Amino acid sequence: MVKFKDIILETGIWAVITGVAFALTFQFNEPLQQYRYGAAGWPRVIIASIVFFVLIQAIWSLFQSRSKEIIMGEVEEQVSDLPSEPRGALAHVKYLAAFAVPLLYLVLLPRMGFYILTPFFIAGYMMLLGERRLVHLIGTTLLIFVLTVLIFVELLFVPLPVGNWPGFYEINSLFLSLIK
Amino acid sequence: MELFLNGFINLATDPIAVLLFFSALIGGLFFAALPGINMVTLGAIILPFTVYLTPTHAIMIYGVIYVSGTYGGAVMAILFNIPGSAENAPTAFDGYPMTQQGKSGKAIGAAIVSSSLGGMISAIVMMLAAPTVARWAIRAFGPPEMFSLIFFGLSVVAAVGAANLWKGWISVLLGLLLATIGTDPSGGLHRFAFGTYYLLAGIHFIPLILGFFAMSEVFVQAEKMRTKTYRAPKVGLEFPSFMEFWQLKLAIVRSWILGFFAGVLPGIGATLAAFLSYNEAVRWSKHPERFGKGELEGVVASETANNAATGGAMIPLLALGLPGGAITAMMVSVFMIHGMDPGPLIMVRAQDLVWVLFVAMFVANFFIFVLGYIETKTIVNLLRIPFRILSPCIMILATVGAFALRNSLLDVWVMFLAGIAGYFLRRSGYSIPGIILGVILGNLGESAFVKSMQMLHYNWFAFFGRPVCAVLLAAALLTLFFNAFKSAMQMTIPSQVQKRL
Repeated sequence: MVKFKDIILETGIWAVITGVAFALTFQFNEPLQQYRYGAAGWPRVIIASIVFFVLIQAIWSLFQSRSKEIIMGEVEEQVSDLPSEPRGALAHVKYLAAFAVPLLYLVLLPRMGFYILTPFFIAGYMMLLGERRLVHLIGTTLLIFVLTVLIFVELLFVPLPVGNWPGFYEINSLFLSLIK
Repeated sequence: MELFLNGFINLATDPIAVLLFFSALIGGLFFAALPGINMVTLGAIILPFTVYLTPTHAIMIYGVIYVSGTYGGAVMAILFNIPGSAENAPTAFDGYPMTQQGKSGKAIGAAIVSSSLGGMISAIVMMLAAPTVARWAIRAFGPPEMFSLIFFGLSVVAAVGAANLWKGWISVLLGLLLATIGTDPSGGLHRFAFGTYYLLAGIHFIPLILGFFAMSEVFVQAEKMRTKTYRAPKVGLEFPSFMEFWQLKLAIVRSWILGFFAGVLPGIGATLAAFLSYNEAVRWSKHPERFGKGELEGVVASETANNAATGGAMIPLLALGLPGGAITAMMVSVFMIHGMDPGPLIMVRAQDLVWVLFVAMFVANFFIFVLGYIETKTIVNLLRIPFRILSPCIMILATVGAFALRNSLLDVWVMFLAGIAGYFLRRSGYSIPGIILGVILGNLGESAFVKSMQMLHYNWFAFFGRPVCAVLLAAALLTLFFNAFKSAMQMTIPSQVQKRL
């Protein structure tokens, strides 16, 4: 069951999104000769509709929570249908790392280049998810990397990033010239 | 019949044509299955090379790619909840739960047969009725009808895939809001662009699909692995039986009709056809509560409709020279490259070409059945690969796929942010397909609305003076109010409590 604070948080997030979007519509709110409603008309109707449905959703969730409280006589915690282990600090770190590692990959990609960075990312993410066998780590990394290069670089001529940090650009370019 | 036989003989006795046919068939299946690249990518790659081919061979390739690519995206949707294309998104609603229940073979088998059947019947009707259907579509559908159809389609989508109706509508509206980024169709003003060239072109739906489906799925499964709640899907190689399909015959017929006529309409095509068909399957089912939890009919409805749309999409192209989507637009380019004017006279002046195309699409749908059966016994074994090995592969494919679209890292960032947003939206019960469809149809819908207002002199009631508009808008409003009423009833007595009592 959804808690009261979750409902308020969700509603608040939507309020911020719609508020910011509505404020931005004033930047293109110029009248148009050929169209009465202007460029801001359509987005504003959408924003107003989102606000309308968010309010209904909040009221609906509150009413549902309240109904269950009254009829069941207790507040039920939201229960997953699968058992889960209690989270320790390490589990929290690994949970955040599942998002942070791809983020770091994206930040470094234009700087270090695809050909150097990607093998480390593949191996690192597998290790993060629990893979420890060296054969799998190296083998899978090579397989994914080679297939990606074959399909996207050789077959589709996609110009993957070669990096702009000193040293990395040269190494990536050397690798490209070798495979071409 | 004679024309069909001539077309078949022309195709079968030409070794180059046969080679190109199978290359296009396998290429379309392969490209559509990979996240981030799809049949449009393949079509764009081979377009320059069509200069060296005869017009017949070139047009045939695109027809076959269209057929095989539309089915190809279903495999990833079923196995990994990562639709290859937007039209395969409804397939994932029930296909992925079936995989989790160990029925992946059955789901893929259902997708094969439905796609094959929908496509073959569509090809037959295309051969028989192309000029007639095209003339009706052009006369009956103007901007008001287009807007009404899109409004109806979005009201249908809002009712499926989310935890409740309100979240469904919020999802669709969020997609519509994302679609407003760029330039407005009425005056060309910049909207939400923040002065960047990238946002002036708008947010492309492919990075959004990759982010919302592929990346968010990786995050969800990674979380389950961390909390030890991850359950590897069982591999099921069982093919659906004839009786199972016979019980769904009405759903197949209904889905075919929806898919074919949606395919005829320019711009709407297979995506809306798949969603409409899925929703109607839910509406007409005796057990609508089973949908979204591994109901075979859901897969059948979606895949029948999206492949039925392929034949429908050829009709405005061949009869009137109007492309309905990206692939058919490339086919127009092929005609022009070879000095041919796409239009009604194509069917008279290049009859052999047209019938080779018809036959190739018909035969391609048959081969989907054959190749798909082999695929059922082989590809599903991908599920045996541990997710910790599969997840970086999916992420790299998604990253490179997003980058390959416009060679821009900003598309990759959009994909990543969509992945994060998708992760939280899914946990909160919002509909990812609703968002995607809102993005895809948003520009088309707004453009149709602007033109409608100008045509109808800003008289809103004039919509109801046009029969097709009146029917579609009434259906949309009825859908909305009916679902709202149902939600209100559930609000009075929550379902869990109803079960307890």
